[in-house]
Amino acid sequence: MPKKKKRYLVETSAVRAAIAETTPRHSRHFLEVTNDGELSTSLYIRMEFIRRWICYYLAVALKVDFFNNVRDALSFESETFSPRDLKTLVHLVSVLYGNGKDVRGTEAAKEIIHIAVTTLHKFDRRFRSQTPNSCGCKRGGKALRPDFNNIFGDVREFLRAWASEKTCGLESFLDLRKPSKASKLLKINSVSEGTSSGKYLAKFKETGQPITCKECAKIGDIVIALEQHAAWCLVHIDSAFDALCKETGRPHIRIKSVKAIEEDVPK
Amino acid sequence: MYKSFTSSESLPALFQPRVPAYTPSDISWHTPTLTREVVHELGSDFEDSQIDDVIKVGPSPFPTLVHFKSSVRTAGARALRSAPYLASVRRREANRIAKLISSLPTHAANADEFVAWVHEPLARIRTLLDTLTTAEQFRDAEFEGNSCEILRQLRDTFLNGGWQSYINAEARAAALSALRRLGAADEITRDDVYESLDKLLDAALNPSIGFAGDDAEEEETIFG
Repeated sequence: MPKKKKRYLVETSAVRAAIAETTPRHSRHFLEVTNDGELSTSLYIRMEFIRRWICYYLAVALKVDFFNNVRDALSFESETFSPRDLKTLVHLVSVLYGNGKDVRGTEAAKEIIHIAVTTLHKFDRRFRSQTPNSCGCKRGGKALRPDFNNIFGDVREFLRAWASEKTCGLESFLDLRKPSKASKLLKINSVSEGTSSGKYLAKFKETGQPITCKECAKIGDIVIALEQHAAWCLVHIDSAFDALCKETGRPHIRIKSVKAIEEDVPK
Repeated sequence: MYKSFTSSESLPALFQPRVPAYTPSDISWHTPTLTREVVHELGSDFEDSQIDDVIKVGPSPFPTLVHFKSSVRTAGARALRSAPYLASVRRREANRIAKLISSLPTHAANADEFVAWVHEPLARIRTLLDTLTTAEQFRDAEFEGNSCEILRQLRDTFLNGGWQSYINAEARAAALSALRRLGAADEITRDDVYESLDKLLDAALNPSIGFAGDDAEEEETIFG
């Protein structure tokens, strides 16, 4: 009887390695761990990927187009306080100035959009299989296939449609007012106090505040852990899932980060 | 000696009282008119230009009306940016690049030599991309936007060491497929963009470089 193939659910922190957007060594490390199985994603993880990177790239592209040249645009954008955004910006500088000349704002904006659209396309090709959308996420399934003859119009439409979704089925999935799976998980200290998403969810439960897409951005890890079905093994880099998966009783594998691989630091 | 005049009829014409034959709202045949037309021919490069002209208005008992007409002729520039013209530029150059890529196998034996041959298609792709984006920089809706996106995909497949993949027949075939489409079609559509993307990815080429996501783990370590 043929051996049943394993199923791996690739968590957001490991997506870059899965789509070969890290170093070759790190991508090889990911393949070595998962080559005996089939890779899957979920609508929620896809939503996180889009929210965290693709939307940011598209928004920066539109901002860059407001300026005559890249130098002025980056100077303005460098005021951002988000560490992640700053890191992305530094990398974009190397890409945009690759030719050693100051590129016109509009051209630079199109280059950034090119990166975003192609990267999401790589994501969709890599993860053809999806787990059931138990949390009822409404944004994760949005397609990004703009017509480059009307690129700014299509990008604006995508971002507006993205922002217009404010709520979904997440609140009823978590069901914090009842002794749901989420409520039980929050009673465990290693989750409610040991993880960032656990702390936020505990706070939302205490205050009774409605959970919209805005609050969802703070509790992503715990939602992924709750949504994970027993048939899938979660592949992650984020250490928060060590505690979460232990308490949900779901299988998981933590792979090394890029830094750890490149510096050969033990896990 | 001055002569005295008793009536207006006897005054020489030069000294007749001057009553304007027009009011500001009424221009009559008494009003001399000078017409000067200046034509700017807008070139394909949209370079700034200036025309200096001096109009000499002779003395006149009546105000002279100067009719200054300035016109900008854009037919020349429009023609060099029309959809059919840009499509013809794109087709011609795409076919030239395809020819270069087709000839790469004859230079694949020597790696040092190969880089000298594979560089030219990359340079031509960049130039064509620059030409098309510059030509359409003032348009809201573009004719060659999708073509430019395919050119970006092709360009990126050469970068970050990707040029070495062009030793393989499969990689060249994928790039040639995209270039043949660029070299034949009147209009490049959205579907062409994603079809090209899939073919390049199927051939293990990387049509986009520069994505800089991060590991959540790293962020927690570095920033606490």
